[in-house]
Amino acid sequence: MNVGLGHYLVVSALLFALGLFGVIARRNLLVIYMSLELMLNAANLALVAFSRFTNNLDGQILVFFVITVAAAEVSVGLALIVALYRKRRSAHVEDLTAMKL
Amino acid sequence: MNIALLSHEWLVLLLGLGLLLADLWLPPAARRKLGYVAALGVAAILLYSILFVRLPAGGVEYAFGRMYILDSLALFFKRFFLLAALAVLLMSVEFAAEIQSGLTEYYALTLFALAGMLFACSANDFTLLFVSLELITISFYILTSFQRARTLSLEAGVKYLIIGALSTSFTVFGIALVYGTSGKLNFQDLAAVAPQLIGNKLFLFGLLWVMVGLGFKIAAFPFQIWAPDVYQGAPSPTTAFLAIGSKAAGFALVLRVLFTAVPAITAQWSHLLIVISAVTILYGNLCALPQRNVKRLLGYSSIAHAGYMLLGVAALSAAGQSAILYYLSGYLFTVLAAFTVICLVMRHAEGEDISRLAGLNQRSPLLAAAMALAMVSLAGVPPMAGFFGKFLLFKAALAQGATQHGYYWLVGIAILGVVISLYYYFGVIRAIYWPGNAPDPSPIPVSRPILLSIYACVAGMFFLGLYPNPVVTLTSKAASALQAETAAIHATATLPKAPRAAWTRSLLGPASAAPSRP
Amino acid sequence: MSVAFFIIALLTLLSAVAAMTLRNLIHCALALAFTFAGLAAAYLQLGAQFVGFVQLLVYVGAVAILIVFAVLLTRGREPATQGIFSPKWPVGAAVALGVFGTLAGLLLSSRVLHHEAAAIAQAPVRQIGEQLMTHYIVPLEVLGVLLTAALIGAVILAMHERESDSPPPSKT
Repeated sequence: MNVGLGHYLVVSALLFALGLFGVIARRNLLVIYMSLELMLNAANLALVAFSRFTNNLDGQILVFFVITVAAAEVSVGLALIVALYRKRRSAHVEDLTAMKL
Repeated sequence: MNIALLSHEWLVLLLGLGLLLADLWLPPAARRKLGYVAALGVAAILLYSILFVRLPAGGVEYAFGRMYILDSLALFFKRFFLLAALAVLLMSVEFAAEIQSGLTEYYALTLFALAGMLFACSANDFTLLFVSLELITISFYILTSFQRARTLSLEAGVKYLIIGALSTSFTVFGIALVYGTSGKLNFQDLAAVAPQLIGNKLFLFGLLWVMVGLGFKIAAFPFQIWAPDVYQGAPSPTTAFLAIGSKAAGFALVLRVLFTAVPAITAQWSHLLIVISAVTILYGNLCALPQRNVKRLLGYSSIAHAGYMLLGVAALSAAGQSAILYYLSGYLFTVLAAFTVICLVMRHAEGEDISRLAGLNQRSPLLAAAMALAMVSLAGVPPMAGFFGKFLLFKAALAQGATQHGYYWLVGIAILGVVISLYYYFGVIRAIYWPGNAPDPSPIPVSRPILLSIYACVAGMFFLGLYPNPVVTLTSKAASALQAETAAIHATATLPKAPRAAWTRSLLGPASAAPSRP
Repeated sequence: MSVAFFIIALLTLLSAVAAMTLRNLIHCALALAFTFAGLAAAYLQLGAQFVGFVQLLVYVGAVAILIVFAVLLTRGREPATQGIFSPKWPVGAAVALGVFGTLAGLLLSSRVLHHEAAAIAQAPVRQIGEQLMTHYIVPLEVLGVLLTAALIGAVILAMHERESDSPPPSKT
């Protein structure tokens, strides 16, 4: 059986859906944040697969940008979550009084 | 000469880095004044932009392989953002006492967010769109949670972070689908192939997900859930910048993507746009009704205003796009006036309850008048800016009513929204002028730069309401840039194109630099 | 090629499932790191060496470690009796299934799948570098500003408040 673009994209869609499930279903902010990273990675996989199968380099360059931005976002996001934890002694979504998701 | 095109951005970045450097040698007591330096710098850049920056004869110039575009629309937004940042920086100086540490960084991050907006309105490629949007968003994560001593501020930051990162994931996946189906990231390249992709569901789905990220920025339904909490929790100057700058940057990109990159597809989305606009207007206005916190109220009201502006997008016409720009201009002065007053009155307040405005008329008639005028303008009562902006938007939508009756319904809902909004805006005015006992009867000191800023905002509100012609000329010229580029794309799309080997894309050089369109 | 793909895909997906469902946060973070590594392998298999190594360096090397640090800094006081899923997890499952169904349906019905992989081009890393320094120089500069802003922001947010500024932590 030949592995084509479709296989990679289905894996990517599965990862994206898994991440989305984690974002909505988990209570811990850190796990929610990890799930968000998983979704971003799923999008990257789709970009790289498209780039390879359409023989176009732009997708890979965009992935480089996405990865770098994600790293910056992670550093700020984790700092924020840790700061909030210090304040409230909790990292659960339900304990955020302002959070009415 | 490509570097000269980016002069706004370079100057703002240099200013921001200069502030960070100056901070090293300044005594802590003098740091507050750095805000004035930043504001003066932004004012100088704005002056430079108005006096010296001219578009070439064709009205549009591209740089770096058409990654970056400078046309009248971009220039309009650049001056808009500079003006907004100027008032926000002046506000931040007043707010300085509330920020425990890192005051210079607060100013610098505001400037970095401004730079992100300047890049965003010139983005002509999904790569630059993504990176500049993220620069704005990440700067705002930090600015929102800057008051670490307040739990509310941190919670607002975390909420903004989660929802922002979620919308980023959707945007990136959307870009991946658009790229995978069309092979293009550049808006003009995309416009050339988009008509063939109208039937491609995967491509449409990708575009829809790209719009999720932009919908998050402008706080349109159903991506608005962050707005009230973040508006309430963030420091007041940040809230003002979020309400004006972030929203306008979102609209700049919505216009650019919908009307430059995929105009053929946007034309088929009128139903969707009408529904989103109507729901956003109703949601924002209805949820604002029971609010007692002024900043939260303005958060819901900003959702409603995003809805009004989406009406201009839904109209799918040059008049609609021009009306959005006009509405944004009026909104700029109005929101800045309101937040400047909030910033001054509620500086030491624990909560921003409407009752804290009681007796404001005795404490400072000027602030009371500015706040009341801002509310009148937001409500859309003549002769203020908000009225004429809404008039233009409704007119543009009604002009399309002949083709589709949904527009009549949409304008009807929008007028209903305006009527609902009268109730809560006048609640604020009643609190200001109601002869009750003020919680704190002491007069409010107003520094001279802030006085100037308030007078300018009030003058702007009246000017845009009473003498609309100069600004209408400006906005219709800016909106016409979108139409001109679309026309140019259709002209070139019909020409046969030499196939381009993907791996050997022409590198940027003086000879192969993208030709500017005649 | 196909055997390698299925092994990588299976391991990546399994570790992602583990990251979403395990109770211990450290286990979640490690499972996620494994997913990141699996994706790096997938990129390498797709001939994207540059992106593959960036993924290894940034995600496995930096992001995963950062997450572990954050877990260590915030662990401890959480009651073990509470479930790890919020009461609205069925909504999450439904939304995720819906999104996956839509996406998979569109993907499988689309013409995109008929692309044949072209031969791997010579030294794309060199071309990526050249593109980054010419065509993509503006986003690259914006990225530099973004990293500066993030650096400043992370320090500001994570910095301990000075004692005089903050009230003493409540003993709960």
